Amino acid sequence: MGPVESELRKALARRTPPAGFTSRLMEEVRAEPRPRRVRWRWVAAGAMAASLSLGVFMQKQHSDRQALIEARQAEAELLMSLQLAGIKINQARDAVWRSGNRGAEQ
Amino acid sequence: MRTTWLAALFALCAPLAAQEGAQLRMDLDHLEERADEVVTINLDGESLERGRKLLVLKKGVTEPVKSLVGKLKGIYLRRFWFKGKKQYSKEDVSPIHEQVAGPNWVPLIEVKDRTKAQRVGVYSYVENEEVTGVTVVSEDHQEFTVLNIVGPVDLGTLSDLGEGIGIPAMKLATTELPSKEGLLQQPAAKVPQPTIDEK
Repeated sequence: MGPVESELRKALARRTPPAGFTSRLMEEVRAEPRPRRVRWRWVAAGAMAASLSLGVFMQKQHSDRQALIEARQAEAELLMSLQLAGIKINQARDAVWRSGNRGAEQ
Repeated sequence: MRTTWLAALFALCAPLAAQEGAQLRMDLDHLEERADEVVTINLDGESLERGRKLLVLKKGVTEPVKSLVGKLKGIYLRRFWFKGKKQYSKEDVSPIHEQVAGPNWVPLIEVKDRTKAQRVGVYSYVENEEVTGVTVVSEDHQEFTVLNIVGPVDLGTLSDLGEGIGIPAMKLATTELPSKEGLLQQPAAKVPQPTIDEK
């Protein structure tokens, strides 16, 4: 038996594991992180929350735009009414003045 | 017992039938069917507030106009156009005339031109010696307009507004006015100028 063979025999010889080896090994196995599982429930909840938020945002945008349109319309109606009142008042006032001037001329 | 009930009922109904201060009852629905164009504006409460907020922010709006607008409580306009000959009678518009002839209403100017069948009346509603409303009634053979403004109104400011003073040079009635109503299709430049020629 050569020295190499002797070395090999020595290295591959059956040995008794030290005390507590099995339990330590099992603990290490347990402690290793498990492969992550995709939690679809949370994904669905997140997607739902996101779409809900988007919906609320869109609704708010729409109602804001609608309110602005209504405000502009009210503003235009307000101005137009006041201007019309002014025109009619001036119309009547001018007629009275013209009438007064004619009376004075005569 | 019956008398008491009737009195209570009358007391409840009377305020409903009566006009509320300077606000007129616009009993003109029957004219809508005959008119070729109708403009209806009811601005009060929230709608008036919305318009007021935007108007006050506009550049070029003078203080008197802001003050006038700030005190308004309501604006009600009914404008009817008829393409053909006069298609409404005195009776059709009598609900308005009767109201402005009622208590608290003071005629400020009434101009009648019988040759052209034109008539313009300006009436103010006076409560406790204060003007709390103005109504303008204008009529000729093609138009009947009643404009009821509720709130303390300065006629001078209104008159200025009629001449375009106190507001920015607005493209009023061209781009800014909504076009769903007939009147609003009429450009401001074409708003009829005083045409009444008295005898």
